[in-house]
Parts: sequence; C-alpha cells; structure tokens
Amino acid sequence: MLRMAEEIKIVEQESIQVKSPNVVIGLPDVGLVGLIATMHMIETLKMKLVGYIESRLFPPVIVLHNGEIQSPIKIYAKDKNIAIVSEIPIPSNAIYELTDALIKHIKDWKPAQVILLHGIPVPNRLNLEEVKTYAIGTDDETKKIISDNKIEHMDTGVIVGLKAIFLWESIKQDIPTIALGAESFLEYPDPGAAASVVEALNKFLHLDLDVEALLNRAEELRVRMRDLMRRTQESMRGTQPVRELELPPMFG
Amino acid sequence: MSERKRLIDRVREFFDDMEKDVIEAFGEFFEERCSWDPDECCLEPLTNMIETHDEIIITADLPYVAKENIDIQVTDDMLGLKASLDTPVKFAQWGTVQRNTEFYKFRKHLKLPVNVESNKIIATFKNGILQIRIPKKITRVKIQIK
Repeated sequence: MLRMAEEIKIVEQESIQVKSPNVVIGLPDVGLVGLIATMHMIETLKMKLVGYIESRLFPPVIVLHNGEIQSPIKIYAKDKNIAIVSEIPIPSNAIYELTDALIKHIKDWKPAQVILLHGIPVPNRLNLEEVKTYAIGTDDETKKIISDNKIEHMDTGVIVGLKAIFLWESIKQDIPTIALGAESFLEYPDPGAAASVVEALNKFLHLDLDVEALLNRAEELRVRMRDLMRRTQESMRGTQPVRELELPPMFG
Repeated sequence: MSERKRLIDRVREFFDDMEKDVIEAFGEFFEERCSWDPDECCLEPLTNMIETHDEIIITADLPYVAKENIDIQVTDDMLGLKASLDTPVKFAQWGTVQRNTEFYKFRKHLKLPVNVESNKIIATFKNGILQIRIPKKITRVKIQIK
C-alpha cells in the first residue's frame, strides 16, 4: 500500500490491519529522548519492520543493517503497537509535509492513541538526579489517561517542532494524541530522560519494558549517538527548541 | 603598475582577508569533519560552549570516562581536552575501517572566543558530564565624564 501527501511517501510493505492500534512516534530531537525510548520499545518487544517513509525533502541517505539496505525512517509493528522512528533528523522544511502525511496515514489506522515521545530541554539537567515527565493530551480522553496514570500535565508553555504541528492537527482531525516528554539535556543524548519516558509509556500502554536494561546501556548509547546528536542539533536550529524554555506571551 | 591594476589588487586583497576572517570565525560551522580518528584511535566528544559577560562555560559529554583520566590544558585562547576511556569502544558491524578499530580516548581542541584567566578555571565532573568554568580576562577602564 502506498500513500502520498505532497512529497512524502508512507509505504507499508506489510499491510497493517490492527484494530485501534497504539502508535508511538520517536523522532530525533532534544536529547534524542524520543528516539532512544522508541528504539528500546522496538528492541524489547522484538517488533517487526513493516514499512518506511521516504521523501525527496529528506537528505539523500539510506542505512545498512546486517547487509540490508533500509530507509532511515521506519515503521515497526507487533500486536496492537506500531512504532515510527527515524535515524536521521527531520529537516525543518519537511516538518509540515511529514506531519500532514503522518496524520493522514495514521488516521486511517483509527488509533486508540498516538504517543509522541520527546525531550524537554532544561538548563539545569546536570544537577537533576531524577527527571520529571510531563504530558499533553489533545482531548478529554487523553487528558484523563494522563491523570489516571499520575503523569503531570504540562499546562503552560511553548511547544515547537513536529510534535507541535502534530498536536495541533490531532485536535483538528480528532486523533487522540499524547505528547510525553522528560526533562533532558538539549545537546547530549540523554538515556536517563528516555528511561523516565519509558516508565510512563509502560503505564500508558500496559507494557513492561525494562528500564534498568536501558539505563545499563546508557554509556554505550551516548557514544553511539554522538554523530546523530550533532546532526540533530544542526537541524534543530531551524525549529529553535530553546523556545520551549520561554514563557508564552499571552494569558490562556 | 597602472592605477587600475593597483585597485584590482587591493580589492582582491580585501576579499582574501575577509575570507580568512570568515573561515576563522565560522570555520567550525562550515567544516565537515569526521568525529573519529582511526590512526589515533580517538573519538571527538560532544561539547557545548556558552559565553556569559564574565566567563565561558564549556561542557563535554564523556561516557566511559573516570574523573582521574581527564586531562585539560588551557592557553590564553585555546582549550585542549583529552580523556581515556575505561573500556575501549569497538563497533564491530559499523562501516569499513571503523569495524576494526578500538577507540581508547576522547580528544578535542576548542578555540576560546576571548583571552582567559587560565589560573582561575574550575572544572567539575558529574554523571559523565564535564563542566569547565573559565573566567574571561577582563581589563576594566573607568571613564571620566566631562
């Protein structure tokens, strides 16, 4: 099955037929938190590669895994869970097109919920022994899920990047979406923050992903992800993630 | 030499100087370089530099490193950072020459934006993140108002 929204192609090599799936999205951004957490979910659940996303708006990059040529933006599935991850930063000029394509495609899956995993940049991350997770829900149902699982709502603030556009479109198109973020380093891969996100994800999706196993790999991940973090930082300059530290100018 | 040729040479010199200044100022942004060196078996760490009114704060992400294995050298306007890894890192399935390389250390040189007080530097290391606070060399001149 092939779908197109402008210049983005979302390809299901194996058709996804799950009813009301949970869709988890982890793209490179602040501290690579969403990507690390989603990769941990994919590896732990042994999810199957079922599709990919391609576009001429993305850098001309393919990746090799065990001798197989793959797109760097991939879709995995297992049981009721679907995960979308990217091994390359999304260029800022592709954010709107990719969001439109994702929304259009995901809407057809009639998801139970979409969960966007991400990092929230905090300047004092070095001094935080424990990081907090915060969530944003797009409707009453997702807000109730957040409260029921005792995750703190982010009530006031500024959200930037793909997740901002995705949340906005989710409201307009009635897709139940939660943005789940943890306090993170802006410029360094942050497996500790990713572990906090995984803990919250376990609650939302009734999973049992091993947080300790992720923390035990923290140093290895920090070494391996240096180059992607560097590229992501370059790419993030277009979306200005530091704006998430700013106060919104208007009263709600 | 004709007046016209002298003028052309001066314009050329001006643009050559400007190019040097731009490369010096923004070289790090333009330069595409590899973050590992198989000959020296070293990796380049991720670093960040913030400048405030009176100091420069540099942080570096140094996984697999113990505090006693970090070496920091500072001159008036340059910082050199070396750190040995507790465990050599090898990525057996990665790339070509990389797959046979064991990396033993981090290494990076940073150009400081101003001259600094190298004898007043404070460095701390916590959870694998190195933080170096470097006071700027500041000369203050009081201005008399007439």
